[in-house]
Amino acid sequence: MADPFPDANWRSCYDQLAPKLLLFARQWLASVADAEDVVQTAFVRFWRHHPDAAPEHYPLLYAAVRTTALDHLRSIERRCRRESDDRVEVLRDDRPWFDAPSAMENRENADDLQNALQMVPREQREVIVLKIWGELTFAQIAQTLDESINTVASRYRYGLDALRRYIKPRDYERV
Amino acid sequence: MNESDLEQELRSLKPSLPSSSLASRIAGDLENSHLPPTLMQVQYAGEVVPASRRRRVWWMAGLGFASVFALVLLLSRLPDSHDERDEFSEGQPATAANPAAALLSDSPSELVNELIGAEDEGIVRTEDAEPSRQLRVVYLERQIWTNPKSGAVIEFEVPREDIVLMPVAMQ
Repeated sequence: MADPFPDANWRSCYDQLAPKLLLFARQWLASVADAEDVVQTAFVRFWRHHPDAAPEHYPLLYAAVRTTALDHLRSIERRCRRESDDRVEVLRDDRPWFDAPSAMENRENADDLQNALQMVPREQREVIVLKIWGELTFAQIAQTLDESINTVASRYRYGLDALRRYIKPRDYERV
Repeated sequence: MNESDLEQELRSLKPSLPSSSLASRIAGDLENSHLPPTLMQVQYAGEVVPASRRRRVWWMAGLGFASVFALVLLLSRLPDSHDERDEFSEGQPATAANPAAALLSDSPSELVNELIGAEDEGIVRTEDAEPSRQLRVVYLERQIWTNPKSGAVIEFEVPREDIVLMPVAMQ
């Protein structure tokens, strides 16, 4: 019997998307372990339903991760008390979102960008993550989030504006 | 910093890699996913029921229904015992005089739909391309019919599986 999940297919997808899916999941979940659980659940579910998935189907993975993450978050929120202000959301990370660049100042820069990104409202932040690192088009993002293209594009613009406000000015910009 | 520069700077950051165990966990889950259908297992509340046994349950449930229906039909066709009461029925309990009417109550004395399990099968696209969450819900319908006079009880269980599509927009 032919293997309905040829190793090459899903591994190729995994190698390409796993870090991006994990970053996306971390928009909702404080811990890497929870985010990885969400990616695992969503990924397996996706491949069970789409064993012949091609790259044009991969944007659906982001929708699967989002739904799974929100479900997971709701179950966490039922147990814990949380800050309700979305503008100043404390995301307690136990690992950086981005790989450590070689130079220390690049690490600081990455941390600054991560901190600024965490300050951006969640609904704008998820669009930025999907656009920049997910490399999805606005149409694909709209489908993933079940929003209109105009709404998604607006959130992206507002998100980048917010990000610019929160980023620490570089030394050379302080002059 | 203009938008283009900001985008470029963001793109220069590479998302952290997941732990090395994630890929192997996914591989394990997918490996179990593609077992032959005869070996696929349906998980009821804590109890794993092999698919072959599940099919037997459905078949037996159908046979059970047919048997009950045949019994009721047969009993309803019995001659009215008031006219054809035989010598042996004298002194029998009143339930023997009209067994069909006396055998079962008009409706089940107890009807319970027990939710056995529900599985979220993720987002699917319906024919109109609307994203919907597909839920597989398994119930066990338990019917208890009683003879109001003798207290005899017929009980049978019918498993039922429903597929529910819930539009994402409504969630």
